[in-house]
Amino acid sequence: MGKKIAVLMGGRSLEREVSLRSGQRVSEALQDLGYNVFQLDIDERLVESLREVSPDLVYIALHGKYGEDGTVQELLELMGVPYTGPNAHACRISFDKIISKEILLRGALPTPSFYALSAASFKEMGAADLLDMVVEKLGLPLVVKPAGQGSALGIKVVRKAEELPQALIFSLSYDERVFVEKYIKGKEISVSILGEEVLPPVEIVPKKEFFDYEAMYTMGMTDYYIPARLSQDELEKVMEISLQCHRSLNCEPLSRVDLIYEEESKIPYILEINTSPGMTDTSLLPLAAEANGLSFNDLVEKIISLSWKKEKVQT
Amino acid sequence: MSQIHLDKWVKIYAQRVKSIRPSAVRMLFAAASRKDIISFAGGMPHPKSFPLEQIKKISHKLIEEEGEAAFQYGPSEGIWELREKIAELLRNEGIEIHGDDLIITDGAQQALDLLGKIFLDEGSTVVVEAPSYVGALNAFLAYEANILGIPLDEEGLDVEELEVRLKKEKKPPRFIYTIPNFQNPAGVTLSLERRKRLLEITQGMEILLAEDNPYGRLRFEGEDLPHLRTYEENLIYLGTFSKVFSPGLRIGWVVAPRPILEKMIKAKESVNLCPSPLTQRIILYFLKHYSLEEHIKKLRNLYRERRNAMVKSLEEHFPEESSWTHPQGGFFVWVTLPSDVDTTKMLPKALEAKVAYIPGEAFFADGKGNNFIRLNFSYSEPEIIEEGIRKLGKVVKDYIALSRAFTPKKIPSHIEGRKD
Repeated sequence: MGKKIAVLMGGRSLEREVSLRSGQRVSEALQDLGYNVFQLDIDERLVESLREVSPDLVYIALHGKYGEDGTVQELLELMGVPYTGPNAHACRISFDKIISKEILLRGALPTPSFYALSAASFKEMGAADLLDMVVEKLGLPLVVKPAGQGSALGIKVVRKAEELPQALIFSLSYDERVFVEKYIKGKEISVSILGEEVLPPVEIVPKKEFFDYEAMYTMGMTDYYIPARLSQDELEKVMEISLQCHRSLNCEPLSRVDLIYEEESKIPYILEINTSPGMTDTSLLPLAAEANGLSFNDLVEKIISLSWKKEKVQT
Repeated sequence: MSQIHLDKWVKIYAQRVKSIRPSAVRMLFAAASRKDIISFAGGMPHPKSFPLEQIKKISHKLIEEEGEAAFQYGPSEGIWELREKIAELLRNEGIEIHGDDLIITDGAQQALDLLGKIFLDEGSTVVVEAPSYVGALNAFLAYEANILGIPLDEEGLDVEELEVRLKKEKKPPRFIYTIPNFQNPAGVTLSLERRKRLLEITQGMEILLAEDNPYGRLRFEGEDLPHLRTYEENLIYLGTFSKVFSPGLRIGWVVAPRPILEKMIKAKESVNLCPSPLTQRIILYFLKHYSLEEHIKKLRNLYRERRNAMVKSLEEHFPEESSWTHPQGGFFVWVTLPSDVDTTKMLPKALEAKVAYIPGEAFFADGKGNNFIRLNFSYSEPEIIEEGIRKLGKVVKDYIALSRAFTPKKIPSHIEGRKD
């Protein structure tokens, strides 16, 4: 029997369904590759179950809260079990879009201007009185996003100032902390980084106005171009910025950077970085890998091999 | 450069398929099936309510005695003996029919689809209660119907409003779909006066009624009211064993005037050939050898206790500005929250607090109903209901506090160039 791999999937985040799809697909690939696979969901007995299974490696197919925010990674660090994806410290920072944007700005990497707000600032400090300032400083349209949430959940585009309060209420249902970001018009690009390799940028063209949950997970609702329809120079710039983003957030060995390429200014703005990119049949990392000649099984094997090598980073 | 097509058949799907999509709300419900979440979202009978011991015995005998027939194809309209047995049950409820006045369907849901199949063209109008059963709305929308919702209150469908709206319609609707008893989702029951008035209106205007009665036998308070079908033969009556026995058997029925029934049988043949002979025989055996009445009695006690727990908890934990229906039977309580609460937006917050419900919007074809929620009480234990309502009450109060922090005067206006 091959090495024992526990696939963590499902979990307790709002992205449970996506995670189950990722996890199932990864498990099948691992079985094909000859590993001894154990599927584990998150429950009160997780640590106990992991001890029972005693895997050689844990494949984290979780998305969102707990699975992508460093919680599970920290447990695995404590247990001394190697796992896929970036370490707990990098996950904590990357999952918090507000903090990761601040780190990007500090490193002079482009990301849209924003203001961070919280439920408490409205409920207890009357921040609603400052919304006109937010609109004035950032201009319209705007995007409201929760600080920690994936799959485009809780994101609202605001075109008129009077839509902002409802957009904030909507977004605050997903996280106590949100941010209002300047809306950049341009090409939506996603760049996956696998070890030292920057995969070809994927251009996402939703048939609707915005790449939301529905467009993301319905086959046929979105067109993809690989590589993105940019000049060679532009492609290289996008890949370079993505790699810098990946490095400045210590996301070795694996991440997916989402950007908007503003054609007028030729600036690739970084929107966010994902430390547990989706592995479903509509996900971007497997698409990009395939364009580089890696089948889904090859991709999973590559992720596994990178994870053995990963060094422990003391935080 | 290459374009990637994940679904290369996207150009050949029928137009109506485009309305079937995953939504963010559907994804949230995947989260709602988590074990750590108290769910008031479903519409399921209590899991301990199924008479499993009896079904075990029945199944064994059935396979021994009638195995060959049970595993063979059966008649499209259902097994004759079961149709007779259901007719007998309905005669006890004042519906004077025989076995050949009804057919067996795969749950009453199939009967809803058959209604769509034989009556609805693209753009045909169907009148429903607003709110109404989401499975019925989807069944009719699949045939590209135009849904006309008529409001309801504690006494059920607002029949006076119905008459006003019907008079305004240029073309008469194909039929009116109503759930008179313990309505899904509102939990309300159509009063006797309104039943009579509804029949007067529909008889006067010659509009077909479809009376759906899945919960009627589950009255745990007050007196039974006569079915619309007891006054009027020329209507369609839908029933099911899903709520009083088991939804897993998928056995429902539809009573209809002969010409309609014939169309339904033909339409049904192309869908399922016949309802499952195996599960039809299980319920038939039960009806012949055990007492459904005794079983229903137990269910009434079970659900009364849970309704009580839910209503009591709502009184304790929900804000004063909210109100709810007081169902005398069935599975659901319908809660009205202040008009500035959007229950779809609030759902992730509830899931975070580990409690789930269905936002009111789902039960309206026009996307209204944002400040309602449907709560199911049949599935959970009373103490779990109490815990869940306490959690949900806090979520509602928090949401109201946040929403009130954005009062209208605080909405920026001068940005739009209005410098007044």
